[in-house]
Amino acid sequence: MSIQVKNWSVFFEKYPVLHNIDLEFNGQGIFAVIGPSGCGKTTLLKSINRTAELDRGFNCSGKILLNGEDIYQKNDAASIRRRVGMVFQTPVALPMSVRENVLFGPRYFGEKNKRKLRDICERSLKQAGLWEEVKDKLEHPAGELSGGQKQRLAIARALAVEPEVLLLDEPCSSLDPASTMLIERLLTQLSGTLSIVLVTHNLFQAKRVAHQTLLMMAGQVVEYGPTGQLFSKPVRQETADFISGLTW
Amino acid sequence: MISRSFWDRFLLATFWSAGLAILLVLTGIIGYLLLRGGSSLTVEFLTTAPRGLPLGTSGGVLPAIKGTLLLVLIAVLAAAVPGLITAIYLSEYGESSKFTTLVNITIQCMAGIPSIVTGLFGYAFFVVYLGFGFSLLAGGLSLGIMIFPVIVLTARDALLAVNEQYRLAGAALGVSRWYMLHRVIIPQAAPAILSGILLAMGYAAGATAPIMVTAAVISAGMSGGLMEPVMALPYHLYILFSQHISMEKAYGTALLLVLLLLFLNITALLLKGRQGKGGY
Repeated sequence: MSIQVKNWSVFFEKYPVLHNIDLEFNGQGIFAVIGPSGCGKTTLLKSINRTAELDRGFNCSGKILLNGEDIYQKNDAASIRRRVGMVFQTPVALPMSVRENVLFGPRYFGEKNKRKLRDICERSLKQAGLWEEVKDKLEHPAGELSGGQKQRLAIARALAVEPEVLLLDEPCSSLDPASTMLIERLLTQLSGTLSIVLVTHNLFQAKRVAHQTLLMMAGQVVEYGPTGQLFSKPVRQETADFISGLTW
Repeated sequence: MISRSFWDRFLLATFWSAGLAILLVLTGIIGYLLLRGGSSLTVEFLTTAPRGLPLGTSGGVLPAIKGTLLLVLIAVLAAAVPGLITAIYLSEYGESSKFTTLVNITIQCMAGIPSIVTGLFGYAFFVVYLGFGFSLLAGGLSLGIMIFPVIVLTARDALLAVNEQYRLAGAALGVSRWYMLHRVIIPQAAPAILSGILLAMGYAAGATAPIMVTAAVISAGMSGGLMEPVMALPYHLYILFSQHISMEKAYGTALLLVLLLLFLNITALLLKGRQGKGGY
């Protein structure tokens, strides 16, 4: 799996948010994106599954390639979104049962075989580390779950359509430390088979889970490299300042 | 210096008295109607046609009940579907184009048209131009025009009130907007949409101006034909008291009409309270 971002710029109305971003996420693993609030992390993330364009006044230039294929070339944003799953900051449980939440995507994409649907539900919930907790209440309203469970349900829902990449936008920012640990462990497991791009405000989280880390400021890439190196021997002064807490 | 807590208590008392005043007015109206018209609200009143000379001094209001129900039914049939489609367009597909703004403004303006003007239009267009004559159909359609903006605005707001996160989660899965709409957004908004439709029905049931020039007559049979004129409760009430036919029957009719509206509005409120709580 490779995501190549080439000379990528994004404007909302006339205001630039991202400036000429060039980078590559290659292979499996967790790629963390860090940076101060408003630096364009989320916009970069949403560019990769073409949900940024749902926001008002979106304009872009440059290319984003998914396995070499220009995702903005085609008119079909939905097929890109299916291949690139996304989980948001606020855990979203759709107003239906736990099972139907997981099967929301597969049903839309035409899966009707009951047995297959049951398998997809079980597999996705297991992958999301939620199966043991909900296997006896699959028919219960998903709204009854706790915040951490809802977030893992959102991950299961995204995994159910078998994406190639999973994007997470500060998935733990509204969760307690125990739920955060669960999700971090889960992401580490998933990173064996999936490319994961994780936007986080929590530097420790990036340090704990990410293989590569990208620091952005004011819509530009400041530094990008292996996590250990970026935190222990940053190349740029801005990076050193940021991780030591001077600029945030 | 007057203390803050004094102001807090003063304001609280003001709000309470305002609420109490409204409650008093409403119970006052219903109480007075009960007092004056309660005795005429009998089974016979509900199940027979008006009799006597002049007509209405005795007998009941059955044809008017039937006429009002049919008028409201036609109005809702005519306005609900286009109203819902417009609301879905405005809330889900309209983005923020100039056309959407234009449609929004048009509908706000429509909501502000005096009902007698809607009646005049109904008369000119349905009764005369399309040749429907004084009829159930012309009256129902005129009422439909009157309640159309009410349905659009309540349905639009009900749809917009559905958690925006659902739409985002759906889009991120790559499912279509229509799939999101029919599996999540519309079911979530349904109680509030229905509540808006009921309120609109109440509005139509009580309106007199649009039907007095398009459909309503002093006496009509029970045929219920689309092209026949009809009796209607508010118009019957208007005739009873403006022609001094029978104040007692007028109060009875008024009480019946208010009870009907109260029933519709309370059902609407109860439904609205259910929004987003459909078990999930």
